[in-house]
Parts: sequence; structure tokens; C-alpha cells
Amino acid sequence: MSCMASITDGNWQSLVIESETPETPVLVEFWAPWFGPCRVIHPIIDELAKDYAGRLKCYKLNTDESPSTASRYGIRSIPTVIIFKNGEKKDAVIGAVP
Amino acid sequence: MTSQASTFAVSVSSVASPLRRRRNFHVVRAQVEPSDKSIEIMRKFSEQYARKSGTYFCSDKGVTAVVIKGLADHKDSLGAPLCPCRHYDDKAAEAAQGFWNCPCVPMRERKECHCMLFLTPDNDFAGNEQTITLDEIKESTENM
Repeated sequence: MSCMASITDGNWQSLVIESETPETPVLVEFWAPWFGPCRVIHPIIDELAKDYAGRLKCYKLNTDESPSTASRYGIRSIPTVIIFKNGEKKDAVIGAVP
Repeated sequence: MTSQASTFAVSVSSVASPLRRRRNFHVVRAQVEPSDKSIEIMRKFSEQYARKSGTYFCSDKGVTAVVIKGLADHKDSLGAPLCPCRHYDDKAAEAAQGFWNCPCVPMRERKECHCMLFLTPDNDFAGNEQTITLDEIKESTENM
């Protein structure tokens, strides 16, 4: 369904906060297993990941599997997409915006 | 010698198994299927509420099916159909509070359902159906 890499509570620190390429923005989609519209969202973000290959890193985080990261960033609505740069939150898109 | 070996094996497995179970817990949980009974309850509820509120299911019924299963999953685990399209710090407390139990307050007050389960006719994603069969739900969520 999706070619985006998964990210978890466990590797969050190394992939987002202390990314080896801190100048490359990191996009994280927070999703949940029983969230229906992910069928609509995933292909769009996959497309983005392909278009911006090398310039943007894309990950998805399952909020049921990694609740503490989701809670730390105050995730409420799913999907929430957050863009990080240098380990800092830069922008967030909340909800499925067609 | 034999008895020593078997004691050793038993003690290893008793240490290893809780760890293994614990590590797999989150991975397995997302894939547990909700009960047929709860799926059927939530399927009927969704059809009735769509008719009552004048809303329609998504033109991609896969979206509808996944959300109905998510509601059924919460009904099984929490006793209430808590919205599956949100993240909660404490699911049990949210289910008891009720704001996000389906139909949630934003849906009841303003017909806002960001799960895309109940769509007003002007929504680009709205289909023209207010029914979904159990087979449709099962078929479209088979490969999840």
C-alpha cells in the first residue's frame, strides 16, 4: 500500500531529531490502523516522497504503536502531517485536506 | 543430567516468553480483527445514522469499511465506539467522557466527520449510497 518507511518511538530520536542530514526536511505522517481516509492520503504522500526524493525524507508513524511520540507532539486528529528541519517542528497539516 | 537439562530449558523459556510476548504485543494488536458481532452492530448503526443525518458513504467504500471496523474494534476493547481517527492519551477516559464516541459531538452538531464515514452530499468524496454489506466490509479490508 505504501512505500514510505515506518518510524517508531524507538528510532524517532535517530531519524528525526538527530538526522544524519539535518538540513534535509523530514515529513512524518501520523496515522492509525483503523483510519479509513489513509487510503486516500497514503498514495498522495507516496507521490510527494517520489517527487522530492533526495530533498525530503518521508516517514509514517503508527500512533497506536508509538503513542508517546504522538502524545509528545500533541497529535489529536489523524492524519496529522508534521514537517521537521534540524529536529525542530516547522509546519503541521491537520486532517485530510483534499 | 537429563533432569538438569530439562530444568534449564524450562527456566529459559519462562524468562524468554513474557519478553517475547510483550515485544510483539503492539505489532499484533493492530491486526486483531474486531468481532463479527460488533462489526454488524456498527454497520447497521452507520446505515441508520447516514439515513437519519442525510449523509452518504464515501465513493471509495474501502474508507467506510475501515472506519466501521475501527469503531467495532473500539466497541470490543473499550465498550464504546470511540472515533478511530484520532489519537488519545487515554482511550478509556475518552470513551467514558463520550465527546468522541460515534456519532461524535462535531458530527451531531455540524455534520463534521473527518473519518469520512458520513459525508454531506456536497463533499467531493461523497458517493450516493447509504448502505454497505458485511461482504463489502470484509472484501475491501481483506488485504490490510
